[in-house]
Amino acid sequence: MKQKFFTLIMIVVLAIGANTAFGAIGDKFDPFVDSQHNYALNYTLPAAGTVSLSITSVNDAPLANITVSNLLPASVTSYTGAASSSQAAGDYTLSFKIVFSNAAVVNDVYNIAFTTNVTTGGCSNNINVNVTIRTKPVYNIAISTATPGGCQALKAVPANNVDASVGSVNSITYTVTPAGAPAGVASYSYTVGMSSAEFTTLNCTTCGSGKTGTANYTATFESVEGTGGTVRGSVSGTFTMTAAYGGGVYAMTATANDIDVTYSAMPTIGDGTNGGFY
Amino acid sequence: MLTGFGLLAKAQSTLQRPFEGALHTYRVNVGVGASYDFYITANADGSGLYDDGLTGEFDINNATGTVGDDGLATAQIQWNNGASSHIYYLWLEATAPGGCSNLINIQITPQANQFDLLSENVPVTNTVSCPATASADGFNASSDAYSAGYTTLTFKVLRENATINPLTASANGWSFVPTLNVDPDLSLGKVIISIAGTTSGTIAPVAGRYLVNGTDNEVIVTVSIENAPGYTRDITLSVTEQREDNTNLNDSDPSNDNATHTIEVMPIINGMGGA
Repeated sequence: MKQKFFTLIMIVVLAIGANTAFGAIGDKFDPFVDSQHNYALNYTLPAAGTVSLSITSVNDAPLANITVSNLLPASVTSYTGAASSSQAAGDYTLSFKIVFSNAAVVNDVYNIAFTTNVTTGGCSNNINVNVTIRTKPVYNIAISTATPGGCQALKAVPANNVDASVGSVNSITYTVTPAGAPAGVASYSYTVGMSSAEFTTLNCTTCGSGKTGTANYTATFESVEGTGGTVRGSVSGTFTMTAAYGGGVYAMTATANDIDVTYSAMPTIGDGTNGGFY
Repeated sequence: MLTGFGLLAKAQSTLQRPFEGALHTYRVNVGVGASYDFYITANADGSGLYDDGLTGEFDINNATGTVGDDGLATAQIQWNNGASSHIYYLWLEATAPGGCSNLINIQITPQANQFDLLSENVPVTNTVSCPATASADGFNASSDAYSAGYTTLTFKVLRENATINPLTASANGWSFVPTLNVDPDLSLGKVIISIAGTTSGTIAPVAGRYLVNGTDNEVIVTVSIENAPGYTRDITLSVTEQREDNTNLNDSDPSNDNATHTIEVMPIINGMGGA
């Protein structure tokens, strides 16, 4: 009868993170690679006793890929299953943090087990839960352009005896489209840039970092006679998950992160000595 | 000096201000391998294309081609009479083998021809003189070998409004065919002894034509006229068939092509006699 009583009393509130629903990808039971979660568990000791926390590998998941810290209460000093120092009767909250490193392997499973033992009478209770590593969340971003390239621009009315390429401005517009934000994204931003080895006057005043949303970015460059080349539009970004989703910071997945627009060479006209007709 | 230079420059036949009648070569450095096309429009925006075949004011030679290893697109344009009444825009369109083009144009304002070769006395006011009677001129007073001798005259042929060759930055050469007339002629001797310029030196004629170095603005024509006692005679040096090298410009002003010098009458001396 006495043992049954303890058993009832020790119906510990073993819902780890009791307020968190199970089963959402990215939550503490299905954590993303490179995330971290705080775990908590309330329990009651009807009499003095010990507890033990054991975090183990289920499917040969390397323990080196996780880091456990912030263990409380202080009497719990290990997560390898060793018994804590004696705790008096009362209500407690076990809490700890697990960092799942970037090296964590998808589908690796770790088991978190917690056991309470009452010193007098020898009754115990326990709970365990499997934690399965999930692949990093994906947030797609794409860069595209409708600018066809081809021949470089020429001035319709060039200055007298100055070739039409001089001062002629080409314009090229890239569109950046973030799409398919995963659940749990707290924030994101991307960096868009344009570059060219051949067209040294390339300038994009609106490009840069900290960009959000779908937007167009336009660069200009002056035509260069005798030179063909490429203007490359590039985009990269990161997004941060909410704490409930592990708080990780991930690179956005660029479905097309570099778009090249190619311009062909036009003939040179004039040279350093004779700029035009002579 | 500067003013003179300015006036000279203003009166030149140039690529952009060619004289009517001038042939000019228009060159542009273009990337090797490009095809090119020279054409002329009425407007700076490329509109108003002239049909060379139907337009008499100019003729374009070698309007199209492919740039060779010299990196030059070259065409010659003959500016004809009537061209000075319009402004033209000469275009060169060059197209790379890949299909992309580049353009350049130059505004051209043809001018009435001002190239001129003229003949004058030396100095210009020296229009009358007496026959030479020095032994150095062949005059011989000895009665048994009397000779009236020869008078040596000099004329000057000047070139005005030369065209500067853009490749050499020097004036084009020029040439003419001189003719010497004596009135009355009397079938006596008359000859052009020499024609010489500072740079040209003494010029040897080629089929009667004297070719003058472009740096010489003038040449001195030395003639010898056999004296004719009892006659006042007009010696006229005329320049004909004037032409400028490269541009092929002809003379613009025939009114100054002749210079006349009068040799006053030489008294007649009959045979020495007496009792």
